[in-house]
Amino acid sequence: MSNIDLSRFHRTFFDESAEGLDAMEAALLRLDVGQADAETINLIFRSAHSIKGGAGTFGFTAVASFTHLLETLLERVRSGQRQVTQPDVDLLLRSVDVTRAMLRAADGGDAADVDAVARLSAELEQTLEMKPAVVAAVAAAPVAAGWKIRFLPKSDIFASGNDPLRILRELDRLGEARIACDSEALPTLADAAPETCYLSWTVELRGDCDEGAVRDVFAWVEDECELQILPLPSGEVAAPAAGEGRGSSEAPSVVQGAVPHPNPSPEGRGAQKPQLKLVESTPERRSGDTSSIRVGTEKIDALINLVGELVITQAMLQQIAGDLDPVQNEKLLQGLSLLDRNTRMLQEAVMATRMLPVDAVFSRFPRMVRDLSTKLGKQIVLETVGEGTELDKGVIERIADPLTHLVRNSLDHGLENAEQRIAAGKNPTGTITLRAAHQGGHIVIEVADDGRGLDRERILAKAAERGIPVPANPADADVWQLIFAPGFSTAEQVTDVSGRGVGMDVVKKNVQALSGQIEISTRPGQGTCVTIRLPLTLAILDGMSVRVGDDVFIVPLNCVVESLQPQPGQVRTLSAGARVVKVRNEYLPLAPLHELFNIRTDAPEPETGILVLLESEGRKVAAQVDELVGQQQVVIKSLEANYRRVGGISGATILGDGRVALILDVAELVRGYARAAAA
Amino acid sequence: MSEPNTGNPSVSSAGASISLPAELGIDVAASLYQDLLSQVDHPGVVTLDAQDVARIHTAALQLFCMFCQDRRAAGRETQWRHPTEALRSAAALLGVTTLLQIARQEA
Repeated sequence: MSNIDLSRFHRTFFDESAEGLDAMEAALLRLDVGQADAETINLIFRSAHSIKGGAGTFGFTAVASFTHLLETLLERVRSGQRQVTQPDVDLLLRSVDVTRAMLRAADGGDAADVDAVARLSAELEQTLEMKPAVVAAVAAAPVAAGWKIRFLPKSDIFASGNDPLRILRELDRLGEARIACDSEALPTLADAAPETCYLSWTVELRGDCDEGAVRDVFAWVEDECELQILPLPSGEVAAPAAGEGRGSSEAPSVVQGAVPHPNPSPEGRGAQKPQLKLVESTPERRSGDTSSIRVGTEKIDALINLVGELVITQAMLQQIAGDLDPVQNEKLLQGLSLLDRNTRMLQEAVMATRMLPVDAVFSRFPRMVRDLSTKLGKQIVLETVGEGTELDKGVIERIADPLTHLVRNSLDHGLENAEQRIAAGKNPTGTITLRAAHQGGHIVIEVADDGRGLDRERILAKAAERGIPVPANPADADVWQLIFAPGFSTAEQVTDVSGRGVGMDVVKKNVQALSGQIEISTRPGQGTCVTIRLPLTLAILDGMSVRVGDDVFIVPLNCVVESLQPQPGQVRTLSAGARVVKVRNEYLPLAPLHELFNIRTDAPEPETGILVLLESEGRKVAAQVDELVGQQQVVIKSLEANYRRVGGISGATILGDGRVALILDVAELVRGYARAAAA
Repeated sequence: MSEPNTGNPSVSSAGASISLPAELGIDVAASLYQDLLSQVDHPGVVTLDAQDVARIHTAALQLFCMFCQDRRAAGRETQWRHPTEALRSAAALLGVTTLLQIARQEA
């Protein structure tokens, strides 16, 4: 115990320090100069203090001495000896960058620029009035080189959920960015498509950031753009023009000024900047600044596909093993059961690589709610629950817009203003709750408000006015579904927040395109809750396999309510030949799958088969099958990509015995019967 | 239940004004496009009232660029009214302040 190997704690130290610096940066950015609140100052101080302590413990003396200066300055602010100023904040932000670079160097990454460290240390000391004279001399040091970045987004970059503005903003944070926009490709407004990108940019980034940091900024859009990153020779970089603000410029000379460097390799850079030295380094060299690596999504998708095939193979083995004698083959069966478990764990682990916390979407709403509630003159608070819940990156990107619509609708239509709420005996402040949770293989996202709730009569009246077909004596669930009809809007006044009657139908289409379901529950005067249920991934499905004749169909398990064998008299025939089955006190339409798909069966009558009760969009149908075969995870293969679209079928899969089974599109099935009932 | 009305064009014989909402995200690009398109050929001064703009997407700024470019080419005047810091800094970051002529006017 006498010789503790501290190096095994290095990883934790680097990770925690990186988080601390991120927190410090965020706090500095939100710091209100002049009215700095003690908590934010404390947070910044604590971050610096922890890094200093850790660096000292692990022997990274340069980091420890630098952060000591930082901590001293912050201590003066914290104790009230010093009023924080804007230059202080700028200095602290630059110190965060330098500390980050030093930690990266200490972690075996690229070398930190010792001149930059010395320069900033001198500035800190001068700010602390320790060594006023040193700064001028150091400040005259030659300017650091930077990068010339040519960023040509693809025309559909907006559709991928990315915004070049965010990328340029991040670049701007890395150093001094001179941004030139190329607007040559802009068409006239009349010829333009509003969601197509026509602009491209050339950025001269001056600062001591490395190429990896620049590339990191583009990590999310690497497939969505053409990108060229070339080092700027240090002699080429002009000093920033005085009074130029952030250094953005549109002067054409900026575009033409930089000459691509013939050797963009790191070695080339090293040769140009002999002043670079390694500050501190652990023997093990790492790339990147955290313990993560970036992998292209296509590699992950290939992996997911392979795991999918493995799941099929495993299911096949499982099926064969079902016929074996369990006593004689005990060890084999044990091995197979282990294989089953490991396959599932592997599948989950691979899926997890594409998972992001739903906070990536939720985080956009606090600002939106604050701004819109002010604009609408309402008092509204936003609560988020389960923002750490993870789901597939692709699903996250495509759920953002529907959620924005829903939150906006709650703000505008769902929640009353303070006077109306008081008159209704409610808390004057309305609440919107965004909740995310995993349920089985699904994520359920709720957008709930405690507003006035949906008005059944008004919706029916509006539907009649708009000529939207309404079933006779509609159930509540049917009425709520009407608001998803194209062109439906119950807003008495069209507002500039929401109110053109295009939205909820788009929301529903987007959710359905993700194989999701959307449901509404509402209570008059108490609020509305829209529930979106999405598969965690679009690649794998938990299904129940059912037999109809010689064919096997897969029914998505999340749609199955129950299954039963009907008793004589439970099934009744209506005048039009349609049949219904009475389950408890509910009459459900009977959907004999053998009739729908034209399959010869030995058990054509419902009483000789099995009924599987399926539910979608708040409505139910009883599907008649011959037999329940089992329950399994299936890998979804697109039928459209491999064959063509087939009504009532959402996809296909390969069974353990190599046969193809079709996956039922329950939503379409239910809708078809609802239409028939309404006709 | 619907989508936001992005701009509120109001027209008089002398000029027209488009009042821009706080959120100019990608989701409102289509309706903003329609609003701008309806005023791009307006012969008088068109004022873009940007006092509420809090968040803006590149798609929206790009629409403004085309709007201003088309109007300038036709010799027509476009003005910004109270462009917010959010709008001006976004325009600066995208390098389109000159194209939009947004920096020279007071917020």
